[in-house]
Amino acid sequence: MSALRVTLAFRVVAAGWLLGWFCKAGYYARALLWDDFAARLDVAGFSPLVQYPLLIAVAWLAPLAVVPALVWPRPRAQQAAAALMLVASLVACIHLETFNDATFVTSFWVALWLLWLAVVTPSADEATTLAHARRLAQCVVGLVFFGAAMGKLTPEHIDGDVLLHVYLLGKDRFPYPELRAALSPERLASLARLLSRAVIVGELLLAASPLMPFRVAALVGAGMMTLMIAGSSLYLVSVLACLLALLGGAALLSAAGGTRLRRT
Amino acid sequence: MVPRDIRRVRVATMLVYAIVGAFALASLALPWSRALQREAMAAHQLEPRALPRWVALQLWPKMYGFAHRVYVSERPLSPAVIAAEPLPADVESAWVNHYPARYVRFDTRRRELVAAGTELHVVVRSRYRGLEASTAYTVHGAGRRLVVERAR
Repeated sequence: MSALRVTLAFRVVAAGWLLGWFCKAGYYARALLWDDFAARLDVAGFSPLVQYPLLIAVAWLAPLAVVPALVWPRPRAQQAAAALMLVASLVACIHLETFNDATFVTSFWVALWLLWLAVVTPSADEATTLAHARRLAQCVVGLVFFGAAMGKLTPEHIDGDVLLHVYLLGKDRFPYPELRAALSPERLASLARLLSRAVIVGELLLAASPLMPFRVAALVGAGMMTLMIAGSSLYLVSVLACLLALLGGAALLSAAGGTRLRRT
Repeated sequence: MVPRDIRRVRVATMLVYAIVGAFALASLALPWSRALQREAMAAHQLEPRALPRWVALQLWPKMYGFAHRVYVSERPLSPAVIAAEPLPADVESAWVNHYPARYVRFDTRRRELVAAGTELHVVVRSRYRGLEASTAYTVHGAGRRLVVERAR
């Protein structure tokens, strides 16, 4: 039973991770497996390693090899799968074809949690695994949103200029054209200021996740991230799916209650 | 004597906490440290860094932060041109949520650019708490490559 809980948690987090990783496959398959080879990027000053097309193509496809570890869970297979996810996301973070996509940053930190879980579970006692699995999951969520919030502590975000231009004036999908048609420029700027400050407060709240009881952190995290996806774009699924799955997986471990987590 | 398995668990756990803590400290210091602000800005601007430093910068969560704007044109972009309001008709401009230098890749029309051999000029500007960085790039096709160079 307890080993099943660990396996279930691993599967949930890894499945969420894979969902985020591959949900933009329509774009990345063409860009990384076709365009990148047909017209190779050559940015002066950077190592050829972080521009090599084959490297990022392999790194992007490599997590497909994780699937067998989800179907046939064995400690060694889970360790190898988590290590592969960690290395693939590290490569995607530093490669110039993908360096800007936050998907790979959140993927890296969640993969680190998965690797930790896969490494310590065979040896750790239940109390240690439970306590640290929850706390580390909260720390990962907190770290991601702390960085995002600190980067917005600048007048351009606090006064709403960035949100105004990137979203309210810059997007051509619902509800932005409707808002532009309905509101005067002054009202749009006021709305942008209000929304931008709400985003900063929301991210600071998520950054405080490690300071909260796990249940509160999980509920706040799931609620806020779902709101962000609904209010921004489905593309944010690729960034946040692994974090949502991380909280879900840690919650499943918590639900193990008094049973031992050690594998049989 | 601590059993070997228990020691392995402790070391692995403390290592993960230490890594997460180090990056969290960097985020905490960001609003007050000009050195960290310059490093984060360098990543947003695609400024070359030694590989270990580039790795650390890229793993540091900093998504959707700072203020960024990108300008693209077929002619060189002087500071006077990008400061004009409104911008000249032959200059495209957009506010960007993060990593404005990704525009030099021309992801959606790279193959056409390389085939045509057109030279384009890109300026990326980033701002954070009074610090401002601006980088000009020239982008052109050469063979089957899209060559991106920092303008002199």
